[in-house]
Amino acid sequence: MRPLVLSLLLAAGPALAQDGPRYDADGFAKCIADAEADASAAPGLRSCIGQASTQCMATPGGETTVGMVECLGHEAKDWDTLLNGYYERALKAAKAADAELADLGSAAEPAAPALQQAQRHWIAFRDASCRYESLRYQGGTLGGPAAQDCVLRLTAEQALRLRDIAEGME
Amino acid sequence: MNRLAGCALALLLAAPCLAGDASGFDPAAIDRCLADASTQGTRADCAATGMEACLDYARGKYTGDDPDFPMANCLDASHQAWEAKLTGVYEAALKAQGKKDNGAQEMLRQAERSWLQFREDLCNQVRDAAAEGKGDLARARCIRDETARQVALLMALVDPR
Repeated sequence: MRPLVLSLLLAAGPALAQDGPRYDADGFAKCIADAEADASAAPGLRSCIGQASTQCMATPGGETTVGMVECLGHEAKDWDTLLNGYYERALKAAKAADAELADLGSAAEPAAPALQQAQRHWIAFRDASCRYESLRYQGGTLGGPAAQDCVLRLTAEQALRLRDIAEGME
Repeated sequence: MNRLAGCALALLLAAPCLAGDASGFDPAAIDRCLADASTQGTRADCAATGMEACLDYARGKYTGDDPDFPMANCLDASHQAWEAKLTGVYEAALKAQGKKDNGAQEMLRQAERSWLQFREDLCNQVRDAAAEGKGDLARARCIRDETARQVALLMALVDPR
């Protein structure tokens, strides 16, 4: 629960400080919670990808480049928070399974280091993919809308993969 | 590997063998699905397109006693079709960059390299986490799905909406 509260505060901050576009962090959280309430949550969760930032970009100021980057960045951050939560869950379950197998004297490949390696490779993949996008359109910084959209989508997809892994292991 | 060995044996015995036989899979179904899809997400959802027809065909043709065989055969055919799609999209992305040398091509190559490593890591994990005896199928499905997802990503990167 704590990361969620934090992201709500972060999202509310800039909106109060300036007249930027309005990002609805509650709307994002509601989309996730509604999807999670369903027995087969995956399609609902996937449909949340891009929703909050699209709505944000339709608010006054959201159509400018700066506004788009702000909206996309907010949602990317929300997915990143979810990703971290799912990753911790998956890692905890993997470590528990590894300890159990070690007790049994199993020679099976340990799951926790494999998860950590996959995450490292994913980060390299995300960075290179979105940097490629920015080189095409924005001269190499990750600060433009196309690169932010790339980060948002890849982060969201990885969050949902890690969710599946965590659910499968618990 | 076991499947391939078993299949070679089946060939010797002149029994019907489907391994590597992609004739039940129609790659054009993927093209139609991609043409109808307009977003990265809906393009990735095309992953399993063509599987049902392939499974019908494979189940009708396969006479062996491995219940997973038609699925393994069709996942392989489906993955091959997506892999060909990926090669095409990737080559087009490299070419789209033209003669401009601002490091984008090298970044794209780097992205594909790390993606391949990630796909390997992820799908091995999926295999290890699968129920007893279902690991190979789970891994094959993961490889196919991730390849489709990568096609959708590259299409979006090259031609953002």
